[in-house]
Amino acid sequence: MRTGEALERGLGPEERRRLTEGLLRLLKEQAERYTGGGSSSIPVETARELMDSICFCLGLGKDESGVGALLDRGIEVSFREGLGRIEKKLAWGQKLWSAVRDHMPQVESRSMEDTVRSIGVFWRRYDPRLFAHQIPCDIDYQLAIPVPESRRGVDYVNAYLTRLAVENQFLNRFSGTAEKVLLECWCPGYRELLVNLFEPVFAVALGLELLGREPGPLTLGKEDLGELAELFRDGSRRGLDDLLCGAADRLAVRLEFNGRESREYLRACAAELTPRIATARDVGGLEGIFPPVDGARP
Amino acid sequence: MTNEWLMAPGWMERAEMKLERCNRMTEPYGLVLTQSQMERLTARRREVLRAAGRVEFGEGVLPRLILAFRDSPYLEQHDYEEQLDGLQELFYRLKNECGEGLTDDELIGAMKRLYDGPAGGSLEFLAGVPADDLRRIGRTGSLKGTEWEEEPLDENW
Repeated sequence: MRTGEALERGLGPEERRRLTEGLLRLLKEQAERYTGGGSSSIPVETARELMDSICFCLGLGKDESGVGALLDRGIEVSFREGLGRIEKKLAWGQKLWSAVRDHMPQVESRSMEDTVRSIGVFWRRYDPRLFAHQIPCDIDYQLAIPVPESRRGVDYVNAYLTRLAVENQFLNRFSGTAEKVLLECWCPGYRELLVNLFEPVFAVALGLELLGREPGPLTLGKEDLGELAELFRDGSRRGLDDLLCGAADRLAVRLEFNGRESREYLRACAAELTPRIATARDVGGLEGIFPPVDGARP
Repeated sequence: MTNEWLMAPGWMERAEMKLERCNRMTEPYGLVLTQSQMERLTARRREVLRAAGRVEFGEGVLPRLILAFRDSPYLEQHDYEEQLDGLQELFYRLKNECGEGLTDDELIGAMKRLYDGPAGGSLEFLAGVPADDLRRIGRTGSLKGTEWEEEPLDENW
């Protein structure tokens, strides 16, 4: 539990005592708020959830470095400030969500639609005062790079939306028709399945960029895969990484991705391909990474 | 981390002082706790909370149970401690069964209504009352709508 981690890490006995007392004072206040003052006791599970929420608001659980400052400032003051930060994150997240909802890709995905709809419910169900660490919605659509489970509450949702926004922005740079053709070849049931739409489109665009071709058509043939295999043949893992990240940077410029974070995300997605390409290079199966659309698939 | 820190004795307020004050209010009913009885009941509070999987803030529910039940015809000095112990244990168990929809005072009210009425002072009876009935009695303060609803008296009686 985060509280325990915070309490057990390298704190001195005095700091630990002050932190424990402060947390329990907050827990008592939160329990009263939760029961509306009508109950002097709560289930242990509820107490644990309330305490997790308190620690989330205080930013505890990451490391103990800020605990001293937090105690000097006053744990109640820090808690209120934490709630204020969460409110700002919520405002930002709602804007982000509206942008994602209004710029969905032209290709269909049931799970993406359901997820975006469900995040719309999150803003109503989320209770930052009592359960700020919880994520009361269903997030099923898979991202190319999942948000770490260590992110909680609005932090998780905002990180998810940020990544989804970049992925969908990328998809929206291409024609829906070309994407549909590619996705049909890659996974005919993509509309209904829990699959990420961005990955195959990105991989093919990256492959075309590597070959110095215009990525717009999203079409890689058998010969193109052969050329890519040649390109990857002699490189070390590091060399492969540099090759892919360089192509991702060029692709970002070509597609006018100007934000630092979105460029970094595209680089990270390219780097994710390195181990898969290294394996495919040795044992075959590049078409599993760069789905062909012209019959090159075995 | 385990839940041990939540059950740590240091931060739950001690209840003995409050129980001493309760003694003054129950004495007219012939009910008094000795110092050692108060200590035993306070210690038992932690045990029953742990067994029920609950965490309590403040002085605990026992003083409120004492004040609510002090005029019960079924509470007697010879088994006063035993009855309070049973009521305390039952309270936390029933609290779990009823969920957060029922306040402490509503649950105590329902327990008292049943204890003095159909239960005839039996803790076993109270333990077997369905949560739905407890909720209904707690919210309305009456047995109406339960199987123990009193029949109206015949006009010729």
